[in-house]
Amino acid sequence: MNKQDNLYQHAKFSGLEFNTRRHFLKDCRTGIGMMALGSLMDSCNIFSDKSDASSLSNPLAPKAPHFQGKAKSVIFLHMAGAPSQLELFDYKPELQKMDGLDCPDSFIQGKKFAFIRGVPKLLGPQAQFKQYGESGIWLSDNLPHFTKVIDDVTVLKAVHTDQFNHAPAQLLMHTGTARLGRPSMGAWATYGLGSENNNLPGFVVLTSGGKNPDAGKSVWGSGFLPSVYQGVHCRSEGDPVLFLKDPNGFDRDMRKSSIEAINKVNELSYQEYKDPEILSRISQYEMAFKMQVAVPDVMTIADEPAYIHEMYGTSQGQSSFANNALLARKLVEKGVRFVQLFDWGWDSHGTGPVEALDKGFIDKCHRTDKVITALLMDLKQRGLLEDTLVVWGGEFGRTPMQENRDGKQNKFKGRDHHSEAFSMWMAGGGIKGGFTYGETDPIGYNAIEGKVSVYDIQATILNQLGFDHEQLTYQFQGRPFRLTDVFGKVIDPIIA
Amino acid sequence: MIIELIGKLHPVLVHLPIGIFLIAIAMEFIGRTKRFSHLQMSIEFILIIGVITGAFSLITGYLLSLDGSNDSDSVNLHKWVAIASILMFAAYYFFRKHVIHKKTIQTVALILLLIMITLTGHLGGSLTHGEGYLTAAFDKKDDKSEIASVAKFEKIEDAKLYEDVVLHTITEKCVQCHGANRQKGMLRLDGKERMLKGGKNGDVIDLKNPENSEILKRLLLELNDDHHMPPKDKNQLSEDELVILTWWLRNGAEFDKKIALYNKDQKIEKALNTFHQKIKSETKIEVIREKIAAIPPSTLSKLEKSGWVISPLSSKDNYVRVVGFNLEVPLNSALEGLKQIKSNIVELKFSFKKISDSNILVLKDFKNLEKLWLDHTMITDKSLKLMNEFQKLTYLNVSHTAVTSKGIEQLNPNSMIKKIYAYNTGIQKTELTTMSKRMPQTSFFTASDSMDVVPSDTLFVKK
Ligand code: HEC
Repeated sequence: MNKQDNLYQHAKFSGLEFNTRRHFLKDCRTGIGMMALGSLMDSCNIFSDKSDASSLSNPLAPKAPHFQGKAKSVIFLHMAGAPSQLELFDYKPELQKMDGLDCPDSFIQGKKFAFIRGVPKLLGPQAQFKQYGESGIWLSDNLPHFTKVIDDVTVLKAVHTDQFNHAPAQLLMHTGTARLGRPSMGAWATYGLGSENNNLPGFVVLTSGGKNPDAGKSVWGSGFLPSVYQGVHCRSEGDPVLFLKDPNGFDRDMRKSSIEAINKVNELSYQEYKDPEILSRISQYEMAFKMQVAVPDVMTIADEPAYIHEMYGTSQGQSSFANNALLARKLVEKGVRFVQLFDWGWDSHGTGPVEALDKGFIDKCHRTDKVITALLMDLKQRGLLEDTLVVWGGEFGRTPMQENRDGKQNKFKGRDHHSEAFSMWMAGGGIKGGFTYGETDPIGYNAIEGKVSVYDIQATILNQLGFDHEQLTYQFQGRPFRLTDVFGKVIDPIIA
Repeated sequence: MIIELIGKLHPVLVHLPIGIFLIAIAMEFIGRTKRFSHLQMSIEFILIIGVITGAFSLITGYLLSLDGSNDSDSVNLHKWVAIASILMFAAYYFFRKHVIHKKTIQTVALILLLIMITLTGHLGGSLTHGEGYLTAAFDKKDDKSEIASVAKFEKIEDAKLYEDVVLHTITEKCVQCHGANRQKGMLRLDGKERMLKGGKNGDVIDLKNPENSEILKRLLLELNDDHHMPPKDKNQLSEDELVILTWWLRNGAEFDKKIALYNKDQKIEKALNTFHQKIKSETKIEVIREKIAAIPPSTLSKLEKSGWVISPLSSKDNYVRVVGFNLEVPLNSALEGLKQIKSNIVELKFSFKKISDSNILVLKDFKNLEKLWLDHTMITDKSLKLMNEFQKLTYLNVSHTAVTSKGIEQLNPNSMIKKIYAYNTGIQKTELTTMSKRMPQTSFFTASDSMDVVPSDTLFVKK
């Protein structure tokens, strides 16, 4: 090495000696800052090469599914609280014979239950079963009307979930995870397909039974999807959507020009930041404005003829499951993509008469059996059932054992939460009619054939709408997310 | 127009930067010899020219990609690789001039550049000539895959087990990796001879001892096993497909035997039936529709402005479903507008529109209609005659209209319409039998049976 080089080396080293830890940290600041900035800007697609011209005007504009789906809309009837499959669809004569016996150890060893402690007793079916329809499907006497439409329905008898508490199980059913923060099925469907009626929300939620779902509004939330896709919770009495009316002394023209002005400002800021949430806000203002006229029109059952009211058994002016079901039909008829009904009151633990399988539960059945039958019949006669997928189910099932809360037999006949196997059904939208899929063991504890998961249900619903559930994704926090996470398989055998 | 024209220049223009860059690389190497060292002086100039022509090619390429005729993933890949190549050449120019003079680093960089430019060219070539054009010459003449044809049997018993069932599954689940385009494990499964030829480890089907066949072993391996087929993260065989495939192999892997000639147990029967159902439903929805041009964006946005909601039926073709709940223009002109996309419309929903018999005549040439909703409109019996024009119509909804059985009588008795919904019309339930007799292929729907009153309707359990 020559002298010059030596000198240079020397200077460099002595320079480095001044470089303390403090300097190092200081230098890091910009680097880490940039990394943070990167993730912050993630949602702003300023680098995207797709021109978002169409989404700028309307994020609910129709979009192409992956393939032609048989269903255009979905009505999800969620019986919140989890109805007992053993008193409705899953006929277990063996369990009757074992009524009152101690539950075999093999079933409870190492298992955790919400309330059952120690060794519970088996509880025979609290209903009579018979075969119905051409298909000869077993149904209980709790569903006298439903027997007539059973040939349009596929009953899934071996659904399982991995949650045994209401809130997480409901979240799992509707958002694909037991934790908060993911978009719900209805949000995915509207995100994927857009809406056919731009005066109405694409995803409507109606609740009955006096209580909202335990998991709260997250079960119809939009998660990380733009919030235009979240479910709009409507009421079936009073104003269907709260805060939609203009304030006193504020006429429609004035409202229109103020919304236009606000949206113009919002559009400018979208141009600048490209944050999709601004687009959501713009279209929500526009939609709210249009909904002021359209919603009161659709969201009323007053204009339906008397025989339809009789068919559903509605109670006008109140809020009821029957009213909601009739509304659901009207909404689907008017192009709403996803209607979700929650009916609370199926949590039959047996701690009181309302929660008893031979009392309150039967009551619940009677209050919904006719309604659901009417809904299916009404959809069918209008030619809507073939492209409307109707799904019925709770968030989990109920144990073949009688609940013994804290080790003491409950006063009334009741069952605890059960995640291993429960029944759901689907109808219309390209699903087979008069078909059952899946089987449980003789006491109805475990699935032994045709076991399907909640993810499989979700995958199938998306499939009927025309989506490959593995391809319907949304880029968030640096990776694509999907409804079924990394699970799910379309239940092919039930597809017509 | 002019943009399109400039775009078309791309295939010509691209050869400039490719040639120029190759020359630069060649001169770099040749220029290292004493004799040609004078070439060194020109390289910088050549690199600059290369980058400039490269930029032009990029622009024309981008314009060409706007017509969207190519699969956008491959276009994107080509685009980004091209951009990367040009940036790398620019960077090379810069470093060569100002920073690095070391031979070895230069050599590595040059080889990298050579790879990049070749890759870019190849990707572009794949776009114009189709994937696999490069190796096409090496593939044998009889390259055409024997793939499963559309089901040509009525009863599953009449089907040939290999040709109609097994090959169908293999085509769907294996051929993408073991076919004309890719031969993983040096194995092709798209046809009898190829299958018998085997893969890199020899025969995959052992005709003497089928139980010992490589294929069977691979199918039955645990999903997590590295040798399981199809590979873990790929589309798997369904349970029924697996049952059928293993059954075929265990029964001697015969290629011409009809299903009727096999002994079947219950499980096999069930699997075969499911398979048959599946094929039937596939052919049902994947109605073979002709290829058709996309709706021009300008037409689309004009129609959307007038209030039509035009949803693509699938991303695979250009057919659409049209719904118009909230029209913004007078009905007549809105309907006229639809004429521009008449061949694209397969599903059309006029529900709740004040559409009359005269309005509906615009539909006359809508030859591709498959589903038509005329419920809650003002049409009468007169309109039904028009339905005979639609050869592909399978669904017709005239609920809540003044249509009567007189109207239905005007329909062609051999009509392909599968379902006619006539709830709340002049059609009586008692007339249904005569109507179905006249039109055997059509099902009619009127009001669902009324619901009987059961005691539980009024009887609620006391709490
Ligand atoms: C995603 C690509 C892919 C699909 C789909 C696929 N394979 Fe393979 N296959 C491979 C690869 C890669 C190998 C070679 C590696 C190995 O031996 O595991 C292979 C090897 C094989 C071999 C061994 C060939 C030999 O001689 O070594 C058989 C047999 C085989 N596959 C059968 C099938 C069958 C049957 C199906 C359809 C049910 C199928 N494969 C689907 C990728 C695939």
